[in-house]
Amino acid sequence: MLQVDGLTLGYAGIRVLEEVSLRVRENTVTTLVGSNGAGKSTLMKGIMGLKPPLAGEVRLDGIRLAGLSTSEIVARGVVLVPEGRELFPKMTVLENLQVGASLGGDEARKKRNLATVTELFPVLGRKLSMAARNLSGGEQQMLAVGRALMASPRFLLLDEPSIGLAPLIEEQLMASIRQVANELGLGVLLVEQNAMLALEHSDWAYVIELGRITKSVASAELVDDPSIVDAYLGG
Amino acid sequence: MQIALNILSLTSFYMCFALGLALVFGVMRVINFAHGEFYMIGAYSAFLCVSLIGPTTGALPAYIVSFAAAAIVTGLLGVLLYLVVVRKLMDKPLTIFIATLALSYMLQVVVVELFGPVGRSLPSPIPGIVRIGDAILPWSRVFVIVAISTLSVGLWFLLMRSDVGRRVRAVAQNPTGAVLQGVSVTRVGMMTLVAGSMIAGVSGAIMAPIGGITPFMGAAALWKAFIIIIVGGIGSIWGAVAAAFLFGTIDTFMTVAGAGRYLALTNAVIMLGVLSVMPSGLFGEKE
Repeated sequence: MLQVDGLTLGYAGIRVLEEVSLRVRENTVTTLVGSNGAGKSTLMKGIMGLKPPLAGEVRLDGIRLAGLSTSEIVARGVVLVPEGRELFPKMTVLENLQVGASLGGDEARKKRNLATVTELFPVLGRKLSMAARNLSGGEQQMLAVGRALMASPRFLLLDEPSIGLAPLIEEQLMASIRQVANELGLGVLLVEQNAMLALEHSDWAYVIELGRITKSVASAELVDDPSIVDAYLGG
Repeated sequence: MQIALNILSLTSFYMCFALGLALVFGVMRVINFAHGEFYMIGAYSAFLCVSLIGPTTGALPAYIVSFAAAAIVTGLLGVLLYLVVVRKLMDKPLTIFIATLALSYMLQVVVVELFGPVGRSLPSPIPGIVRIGDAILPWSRVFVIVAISTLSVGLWFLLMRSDVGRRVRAVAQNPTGAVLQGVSVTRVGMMTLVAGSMIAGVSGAIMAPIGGITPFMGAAALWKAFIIIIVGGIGSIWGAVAAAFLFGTIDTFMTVAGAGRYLALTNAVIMLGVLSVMPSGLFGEKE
């Protein structure tokens, strides 16, 4: 279990997160719902050790991650697919995946991961030697997810994976994420612009407002909550 | 034939030197102004090795040992440069630029004090000439062509085909993305700087018997490398290779035509000409 306890994070005197606590369990998809600037991306960065916390801590299976570098956190099985994908544009699809596998385990493990990724996203398998920048937006997002899977994660953090994608592709991507979580037993923490879609494909949801968690409920319940529907789900 | 061989040797040298500089810049966005002095120190390492151990081992073994000596000396300088300067100034490229410029002068002064300002020359460790058709080429030049080409091609393979190389390119193209995949950007940065320094040093040792060895030889080589990288397009390996070939050819023809003293001028004019038409160089990314 990936556990965030009382995490407080800020930039130069401004607190972006106030004592945020949440849990991400294996084999489940957890959605974080909140408006722009509520602190969702900051939380993701905090978990990855990219921003030192002012207070609180992140635990993986009860063990504190405080003081670990991002690569050590990746090595322990927590991987972020960042907003904006952050691919290696001039490298091929295969090379992007290979860099993803830097800490992904031995050769056999890498081979299995590659098979998993190309099975999940067949289009990537067909375009292995194409430069990443020549892929379509949807394919690039698949590559970003695939690259993260190459690191053999146990917990996958996804920051706005469907931003800028056509609705049909968005739907497919969500379904793939759901599928991979179930097949590999991954714990997924999802931040998504299209909250309705994310809730449909997730088990548990947290609502974050102005840096504080204000609700923690089953996703199905949140879809029926009138105040949430008004605020985040577009009526 | 003679001209083709000269072009080949000059191109491979330009390529090797420029690649080391481009590598460091591409990965760390840092210009190492002392790259030329690392090259010069490599040449002095060869000079020292051949004059000290040459008489007992013979010139050729001493010359070859000097490649390792140059790699060790410049590699250590690279480590020092990283630890003392680059690590703490990582987010201030201009300060690093000035600091490496200072290092470049310091190293020149140190070498002037140790060896004097007057140039040395290294007698060719491989005597004799080879005839290819009607062309005549000293064996020492053949050796340089093979050695420098091997170094360049080896570097290329390391970058394009190995796990380490992929990580280096990943950091160059997107440091944020690389960090998030668990690549240690600081480790890759240090490795690149040390590798770049060693390439400069080994090139210097290999090139030592050709042309003189002076405390100021690095500055001239660096100037040429900047022109090559800028014309090729900053950040583009292929651009650097193409520009190295371009200038290797131009410089060879000009030297043959007896216009060698106009080389620096012509090169600078070509650079400005290319930049005025293609501001990001021949193969550069448009920002």
